[in-house]
Amino acid sequence: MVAKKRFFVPSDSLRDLESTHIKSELSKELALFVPDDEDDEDKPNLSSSNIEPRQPETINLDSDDETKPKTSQRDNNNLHPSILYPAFERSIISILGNIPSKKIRQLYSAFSFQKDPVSLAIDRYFSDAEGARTPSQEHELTVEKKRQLPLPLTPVAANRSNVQTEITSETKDPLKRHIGSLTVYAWATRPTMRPLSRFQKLQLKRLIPRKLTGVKKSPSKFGDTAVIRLLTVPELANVDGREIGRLPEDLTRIFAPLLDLEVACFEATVVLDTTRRLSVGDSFCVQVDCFLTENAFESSIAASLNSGLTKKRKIDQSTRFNFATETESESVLRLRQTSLSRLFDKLGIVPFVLDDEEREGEEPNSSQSLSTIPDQLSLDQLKQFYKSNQHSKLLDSLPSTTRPSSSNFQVELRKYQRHGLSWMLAREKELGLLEQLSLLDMGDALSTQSRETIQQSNDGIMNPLWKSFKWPPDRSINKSSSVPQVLSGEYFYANLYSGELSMAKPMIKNAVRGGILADEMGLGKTISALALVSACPYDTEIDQSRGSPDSRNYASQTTLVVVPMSLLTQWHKEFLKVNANKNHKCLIYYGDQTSVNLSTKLCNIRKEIPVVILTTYGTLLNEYQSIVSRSIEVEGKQQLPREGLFSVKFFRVILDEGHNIRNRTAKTSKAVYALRLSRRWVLTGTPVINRLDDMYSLVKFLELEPWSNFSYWKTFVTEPFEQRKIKQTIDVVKSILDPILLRRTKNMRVDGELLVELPEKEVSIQEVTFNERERQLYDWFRVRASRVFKEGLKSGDLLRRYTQILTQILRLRQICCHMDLVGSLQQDFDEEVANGEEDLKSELDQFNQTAKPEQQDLFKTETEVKDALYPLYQSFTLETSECSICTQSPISIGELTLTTCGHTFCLKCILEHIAFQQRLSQPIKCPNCRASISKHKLFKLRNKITTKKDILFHNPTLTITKDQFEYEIFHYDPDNGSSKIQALILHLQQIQEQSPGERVVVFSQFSSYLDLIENELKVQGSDIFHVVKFDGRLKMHERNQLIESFNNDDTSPRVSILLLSLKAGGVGLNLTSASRAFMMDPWWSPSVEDQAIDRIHRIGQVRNVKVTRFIIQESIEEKMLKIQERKKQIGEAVGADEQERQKRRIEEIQILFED
Amino acid sequence: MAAGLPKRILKETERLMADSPPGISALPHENNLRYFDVKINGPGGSPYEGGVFKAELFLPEDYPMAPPKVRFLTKIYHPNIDKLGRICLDILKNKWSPALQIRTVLLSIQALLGAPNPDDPLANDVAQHWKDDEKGAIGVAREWTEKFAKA
Repeated sequence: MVAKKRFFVPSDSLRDLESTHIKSELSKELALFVPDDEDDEDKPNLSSSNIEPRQPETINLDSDDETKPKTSQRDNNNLHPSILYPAFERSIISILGNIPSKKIRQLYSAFSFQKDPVSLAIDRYFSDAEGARTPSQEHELTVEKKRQLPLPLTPVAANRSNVQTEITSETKDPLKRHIGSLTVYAWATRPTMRPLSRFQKLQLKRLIPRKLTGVKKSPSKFGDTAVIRLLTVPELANVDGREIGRLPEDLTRIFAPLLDLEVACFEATVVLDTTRRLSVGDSFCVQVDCFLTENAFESSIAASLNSGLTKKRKIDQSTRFNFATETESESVLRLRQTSLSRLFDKLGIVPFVLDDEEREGEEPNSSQSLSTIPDQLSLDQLKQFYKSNQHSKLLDSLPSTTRPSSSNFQVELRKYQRHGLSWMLAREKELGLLEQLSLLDMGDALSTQSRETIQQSNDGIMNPLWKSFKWPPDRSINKSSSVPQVLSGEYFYANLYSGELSMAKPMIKNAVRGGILADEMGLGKTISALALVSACPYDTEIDQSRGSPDSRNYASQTTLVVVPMSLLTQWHKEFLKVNANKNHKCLIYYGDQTSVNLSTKLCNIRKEIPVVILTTYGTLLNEYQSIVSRSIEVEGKQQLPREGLFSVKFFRVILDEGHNIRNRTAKTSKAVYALRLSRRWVLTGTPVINRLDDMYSLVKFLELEPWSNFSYWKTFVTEPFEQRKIKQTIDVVKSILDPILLRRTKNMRVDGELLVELPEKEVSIQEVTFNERERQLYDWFRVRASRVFKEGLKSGDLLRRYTQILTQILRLRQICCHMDLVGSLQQDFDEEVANGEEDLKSELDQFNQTAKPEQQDLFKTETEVKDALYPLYQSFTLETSECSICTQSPISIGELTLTTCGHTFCLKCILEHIAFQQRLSQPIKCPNCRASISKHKLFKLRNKITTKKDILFHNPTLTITKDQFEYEIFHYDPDNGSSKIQALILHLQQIQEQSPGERVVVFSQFSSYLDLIENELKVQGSDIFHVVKFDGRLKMHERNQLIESFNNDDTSPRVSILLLSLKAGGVGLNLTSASRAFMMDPWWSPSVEDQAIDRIHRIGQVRNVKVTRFIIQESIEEKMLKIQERKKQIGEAVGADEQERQKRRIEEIQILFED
Repeated sequence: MAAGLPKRILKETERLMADSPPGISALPHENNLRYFDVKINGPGGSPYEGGVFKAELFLPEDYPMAPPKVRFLTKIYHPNIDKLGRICLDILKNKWSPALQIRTVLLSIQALLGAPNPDDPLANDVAQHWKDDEKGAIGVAREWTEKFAKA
């Protein structure tokens, strides 16, 4: 409290008091005041503060010792200097520090004959510093530096920021324009001698309390504790009035930062006569006229924001997750922003709305929503701001007849693809070309209107964060007749999210040539991209830039396409398929091919310049990594050595499966950013995979201003998202992307017609039951896992045990697939999994000891098996076989199971019967003949010719009537192998019987599981199953051969089976020759599975697609389905912050372990 | 409950309706296809001859792993059938096999009427009566048939 009172009495007025000349004048003024002790209190403080550097306007008594006698003499006597040089110099130096003596002399000669030369000199000094600066003035350089500090204070203020400060809003009279007026009740802080009268003008002064060390650390504080005083206007110009009152605190909070930043100024006028003289605490009514100053419209704020940001960016790179820390400049900006929007709110200034503008959904009380906390404001409002229909308007105006000239491109495009091509050309600003190519068919010129729309969209749109406001009519009391030139005009623009103001309409420059083609998978993004290349293969504007240093290495005829390795050949094939121009070549830049010198190959005037270069992310990354350490700094920018892909500037770069660069800090992303190019495209079917920030990297690659500035992105996307404003944030992102992103989905309808009529897709879940041993092993591990989980839950360190728990979960998932997977290396895993091999081994040993299988029902020897097996050939006929349990007849080869007594059943039925009897502890008997049976003594059939000779070879005593059988009987081991594989084989056998020659894809996320499946399928016989396996271990050319052999194998009656690792084959592959798929194991994220399925269910698929997902009953897989369901409902953990993710993970683990 | 009726039950029902064994009828309830109204004619030469015995048959969820449940609704004087109509028949208990069907069960029951087995009784008093005075017992059985099974 004491600190609050320690204000300086302005020294000017003290001096004035001493001046007898004006004393009489002042007496009237003084008479207003009843002397109070505040002045007395002030004095000792004044003298105690003399050690502190001082600020110019308030010169305190002690340092003025020498100047005082002189100033008192100043009068109008111009003959004598009012101050002697040494005293002047001392005063100046004490205030301004070490400035060149030359400067001091200059100042001295300029002002020594005037009254109060020190103040004048200081004013001049600073106004010079702010205005034209001469490099010779070294001190000013430091001032200059301080200016760049993004502090709210002017350099002057920055210099004196640790001193008490008093800014009079009227000291300088900046250009300003009235923005509104407020009537407020100020409260009197001193008694007055006379009542106040109407229209009495008051001075407005701003005080910053002494404790300013806090300013730097938390600028918000100074806004809070500041005081705005109202003073009487003295009759003499250079005499300060006396404080009579203060503005209410709420207004002070709003005004103070604006005053400090010189964004606004205020004039106060008494509007109601007070009936009596004021006592302390009385309120009196004043009108405060608010003005925005010229300063407010300076764009430096953005610059300071940016410079602050670049600095920050550097920090970001080292401490990656430090997004949330706010720099000083940012908080100052925030203060400005809050105050401005509050001021607007107080003044009732609402954005100007054009009548024809779409304003649907805007709340009528928008002023209210403006006032609240900035974040809330930004999002609610952005949503509305962003009702941008630009994108669809643009798209609608484009013809859907565009196609590349047939001399370049020989494939017919679908309608939406032609439409997309129009859009792409429009995005590349190839209007002429667009017109030309779309005319080919129709003879119908682009309407002028659509031309305009295209033009408009290219010119840019108003930055949607900004709103336009209409200047209100000047209702201030001292109406100025004219509006300053710089502030004239009917409208101004404000960004209430940053507090920026502008007189000029802030446009987002839509300078990006390119965009994101995010059509859903299967809509033919590759074709679309190649169509673009064929439509516009060369940079036609090359001549303009010839001669610039860049043009030497400008591959103006080449489009670089970066693709994942698995797609390289597919792209190449597609290119060959669509390309009709013999001169258009495609170069694969991969592996051995990377030794070509690109700059000679691409940039010289030769005939055979490849029009497309295909390369992989891996190649790009390799090259980048090999040269990045040698990058040199050129003009403050890192420049890579011009080698390989980085040796030239490409005409166009297309990133396929662009989500590969979703992590902006990943090296691959950096490599991509480092490419030089003039047009850029990203193709991706899934622009957002995990978090909205995934989009950022694409935006950065596209250099989409201002969003490619991470701070913008952070402010409007990351942070709001972390604050869980998920839906709104998504809307914001959508709107950011609207102009540059084109996404069509398969379900989209154009004129009521589906974009692509895909055959139906049926995904069904088949529940599979564990066999006994699997169940035992599973339960064994489940008990362990849930123990770890419960301990973790109890002790609260679940997350610390996270890896351990994940390991346990992984084991359970593996058992669901195949028991042999447990303990296999987890190279397939994204998840961090503790290895714990030894640990596992001992556990398995323990298990084996506890779970010894019952011995009695087993065949003891191989001979026993044979003795039981071969007679069975005579015991039944396949055609008349019947399962007495389900009455199925005949039973298919795959399902048919024989008991030792020679009766036939379906495997499923007989196993169910056995299990049922076991549960009842009944002896297990053949349903047909009541002979004892055992599940370990069952036989099955497989497709393999067995001859009479074969049988007699093993058992010569038998009488076999048939010469050969089309099956082989084998001993079925119920506990060996995996129930799922059994189930899969059953399906495959059925398929083989019903539609031989069918192609089937089998997905799993465990490539070691695929190995096991492969083995088991091969055992079934290569005459029925043709098995190929595609996983991450394949080399590129092997991949292609393999896909080739899968797609083109027509050696029916076999079933062609592709075993596909969910991870390796998730993207790009075109497997439309298959119409059946099996998902062996569930994945955490349903979208990954969907993506896999879409490899089959995509354009080109002509048959109905059937997908079967195997899920083990009563296992963790069922819980995983729950989690998938949950993810579908609440959305994937898109962009959730780390805490949220953890929370979700825990919740998910809880789901996994709930009973 | 009746959702997802196994194919086997449908098949059996169809066959029962199309080609019912002599002297036996079984009709499923419209609203519950696992529940059958059964009528069994007393076999010729038995004290039950001329009577029509109503019974209910229910296929439990486990069927055909578990046997159907059958109970006489008509009062019958028989050593292996108690007052409540419960039947003592091995294939309805531990001798059940999924290879058996509704049809075979009902035929077995019909056979049981023709060949009472007082050595494995359910209704002890009746069985005793049968052992002590077979003729008298058969007489009572006939009486009951007259009284209850010919309404």
